[in-house]
Amino acid sequence: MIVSLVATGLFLFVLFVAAVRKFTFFGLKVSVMLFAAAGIYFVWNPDQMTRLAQLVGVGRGADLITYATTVILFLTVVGAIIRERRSGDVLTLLVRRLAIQQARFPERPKAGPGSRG
Amino acid sequence: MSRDNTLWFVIAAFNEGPMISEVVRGVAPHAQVVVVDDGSADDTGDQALAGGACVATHLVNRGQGAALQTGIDFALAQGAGHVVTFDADGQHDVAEALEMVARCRAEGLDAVLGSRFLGATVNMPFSRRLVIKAAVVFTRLTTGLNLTDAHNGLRVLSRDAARKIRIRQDRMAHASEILSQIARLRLNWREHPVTITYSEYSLAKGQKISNSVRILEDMLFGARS
Repeated sequence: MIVSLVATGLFLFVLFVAAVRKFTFFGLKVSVMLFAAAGIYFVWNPDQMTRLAQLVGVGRGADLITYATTVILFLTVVGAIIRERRSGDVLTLLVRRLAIQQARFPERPKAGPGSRG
Repeated sequence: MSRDNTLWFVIAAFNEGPMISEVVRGVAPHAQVVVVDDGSADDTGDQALAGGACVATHLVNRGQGAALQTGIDFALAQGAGHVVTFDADGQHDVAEALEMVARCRAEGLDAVLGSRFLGATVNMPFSRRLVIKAAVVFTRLTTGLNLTDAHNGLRVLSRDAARKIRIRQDRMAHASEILSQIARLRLNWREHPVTITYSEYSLAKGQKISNSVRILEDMLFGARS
């Protein structure tokens, strides 16, 4: 009972955050909200999860949850890497701009007759 | 000896304090030099400046690809006619770089790429030879360029080519990216035999084999559009 209540609380939190937060894609927002709503439903109806698992040929509801969690974690990690790279790209552009603006020049010896340019 | 002020050597340097001044002093009598100090913790920038180079400093380390693009942007802004990318660890020979520039000009090429396998290597470890050969096969397959070397840091680019090529891979994957852009932009390129000297210093500083995994990861996740 306590585990079910805690899980429900977590899914409600995800649902709330997804509802108020801005997403890059609207489809992602809907997906996260549907995922959280489904989570609440299956916490209180575990037999339905097993039926769903059998429907897709997995066998047990627990196995389906494991597979789904793995896929979601993988996608989350890939998303985090892509976001980190985008931030890195912005940082590079900023660092480059500053480097060029603040470049230091050596003291030049006076040009001799043989020098070009 | 005359100095060509339209020729710019671009050197990306990260913690190269012990070597950079010597490298810059070797180049400075012949051409303009910009050293991009890529967030070094040592006195790389000061040493490069003392050697006679312009110094652009990355406040934080962003990788060799990012540093080269900074240096190329700087050189173009200063009116560079040709740009040479040159390693900071003393592996490259200035005289060979100048031969490449002369060839680029004489033959009207967009790019001249150094090849250690057309030229020579000194003290090259077998494991590194193996990795670079694998990179050559990979580059031939992915770009269609009939190269003999890959990941050779000694290159000459005409002003036009330097403006067209944009390095978006901040780290080591930039070497493959440059070749891929040369192929995509259909630039007129040739390879030129060069000698790469592997000293104890350059081997300690240079790419590790494990970096090839990082390069593949960078290429997989791509760079900013």
